[in-house]
Amino acid sequence: MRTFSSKRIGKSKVIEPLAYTKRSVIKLVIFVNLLFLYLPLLVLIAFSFNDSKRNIVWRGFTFKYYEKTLKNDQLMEALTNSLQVALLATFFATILGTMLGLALQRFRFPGKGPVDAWAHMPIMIPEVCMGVSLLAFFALVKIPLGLFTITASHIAFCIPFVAIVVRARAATIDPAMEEASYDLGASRIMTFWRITLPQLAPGIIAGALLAFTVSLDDFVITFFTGGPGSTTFPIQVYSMIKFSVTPEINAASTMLIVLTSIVIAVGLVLHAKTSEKDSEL
Amino acid sequence: MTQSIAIKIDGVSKRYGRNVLAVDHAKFDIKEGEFFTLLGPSGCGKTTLMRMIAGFETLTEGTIEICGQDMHGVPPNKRPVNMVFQSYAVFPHMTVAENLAYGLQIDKLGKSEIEKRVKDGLEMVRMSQFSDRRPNQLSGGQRQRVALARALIKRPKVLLLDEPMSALDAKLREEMQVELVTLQHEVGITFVVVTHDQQEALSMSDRVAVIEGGVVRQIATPSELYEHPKSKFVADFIGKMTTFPGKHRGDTNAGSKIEIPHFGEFQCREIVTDSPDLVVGIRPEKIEVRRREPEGDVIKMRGKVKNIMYCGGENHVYVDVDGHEIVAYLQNETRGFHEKFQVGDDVWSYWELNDVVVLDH
Ligand SMILES: Nc1ncnc2c1ncn2[C@@H]1O[C@H](COP(=O)(O)OP(=O)(O)OP(=O)(O)O)[C@@H](O)[C@H]1O
Ligand SMILES: [Mg+2]
Repeated sequence: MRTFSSKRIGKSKVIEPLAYTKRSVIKLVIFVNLLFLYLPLLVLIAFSFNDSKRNIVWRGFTFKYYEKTLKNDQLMEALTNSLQVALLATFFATILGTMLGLALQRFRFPGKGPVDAWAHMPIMIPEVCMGVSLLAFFALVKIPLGLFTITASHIAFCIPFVAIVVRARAATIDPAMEEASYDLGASRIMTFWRITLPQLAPGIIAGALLAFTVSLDDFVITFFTGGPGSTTFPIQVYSMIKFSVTPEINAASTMLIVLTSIVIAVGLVLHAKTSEKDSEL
Repeated sequence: MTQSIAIKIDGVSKRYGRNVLAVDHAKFDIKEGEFFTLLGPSGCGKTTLMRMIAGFETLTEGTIEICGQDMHGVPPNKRPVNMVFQSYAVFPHMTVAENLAYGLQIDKLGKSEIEKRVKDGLEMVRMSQFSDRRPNQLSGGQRQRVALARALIKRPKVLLLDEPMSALDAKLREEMQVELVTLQHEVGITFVVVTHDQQEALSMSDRVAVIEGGVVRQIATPSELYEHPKSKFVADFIGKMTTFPGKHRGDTNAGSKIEIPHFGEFQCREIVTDSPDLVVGIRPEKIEVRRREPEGDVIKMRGKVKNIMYCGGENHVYVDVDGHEIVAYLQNETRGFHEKFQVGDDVWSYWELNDVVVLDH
């Protein structure tokens, strides 16, 4: 086989497309990048174990801020609220988003263009605008602000994330698969459950993960659509931080990081399980 | 005993939008137990016709009957036909055995019956040792066998195959052609195969329908198609043929008199009554080439050797006759009954009167 680099003479070796990470300059860049991204997180986690009131010097290891956090009813309630909203929003957004993504990929219907553009609005328009408009809407139809309105808003802006991922996945499925299933005698519903859904699964799981994380850390929209007694974790942390950054907040954040990491790990394992079966033919 | 009809296609047309007429008044029958091929160039409507039989496309006009039943309004999952898709469409999230079992589970067969049929099906296509593999661990040929077995164990009245060989390499293709024909004889199911490969169509089929631009041009057995093509299109599409414009010069009891301008007149076996302008054709292996002028009752033309192509078993000799190109396939015999030619040699090419084919324009 002839490659371009075979013409080169001397030291410079042929580099495979994926082997660039072996170069030391690139290694350095990657390392600095990762450091920049994760150092603040590492500091935060480390100082949650710091036996000091201020986050400046290391005074020894302790679990006491975790105890304190667990006993802080406000923070715990906020955490529960956040998880509840995120789980509900993920559940509904995944179902609706899957349906939307599949419809946009598979069917041509009158008004598809506008629906397509409309469906992606929540990703594109600034969150503040969305927050304000949702607030105005809830005021207009006289729904009291609270966990319900937060959840409804989260479902709304999570749907497009799921839809985009599912749509991309659906585009990779050979339409002949479904036809083969009808041809073998299956009804449309049977075909959906036994042929389409299993092949969509990796996309659905990825979409759900995305929805979950987006919902869990949303601040702006939650801020607009929440009311008294419906404080979520990011908002609670923000209000606490206005006074001072306490190790308590560090501890609570660390717990959240661990929690989301577990959820994402489970999701990724599921994703790998469902997609390994049909890695490209 | 007359064979009963498996598929009756009656005046079927398919229009996409305003301008595309994919299938134009197709009308023919496919007999039970027949190996029937739809042959034609790319875009001529073969797939469309097949998908209409399977029920994936609606008809714009006409009716399709399968085993005497009008299929109008019958969805694909209720038709007594099964299809092997061009991409095979083997379900990637199921093992080979699960793929085969799928169609039987839907028919709600008993567990032991399914197991037995799956086992038989795998044996039939010689894939038993792969039953637990996933499709991404199979080669193209193996995946095709899975698709074939999956459709066959449903025991359809008719099996439809859309370009079953197109994804295989030349060697495997030939093997699968033989296998497919053998299999069809074993199971006795009517096969309808789509292909654009004329060699494939000739070697496998009982009958072939040649389609051009949505129109069925000729339906005949392979040898009939080759020896007596009806039109220039069919003659050109199936094998090679040297053609001359001809003129109809009246009929006698023995047949029609036909003139090839500048080359003379000859008597045709059949009576050609259509238009005065015709095409006269001759297959390359029926043409002889030599230096001395041939004697006897043959059609002969004097020309110059323009090109010789060595093709292993035979030489393709191109002779230029007053601007006309004549192609002759000469057996390659090392013993040398044939003369050796060189480019530029003056030669006679000639052929028997009986070997001439008269075609519609
Ligand atoms: N869904 C469609 N909409 C519009 N035109 C179509 C559609 N499907 C097929 N056609 C047109 O109909 C004609 C016949 O298509 P068809 O797929 O039947 O050809 P084919 O003989 O199977 O060709 P190939 O050998 O390339 O598969 C083509 O001109 C094609 O462009
Ligand atoms: Mg086709």
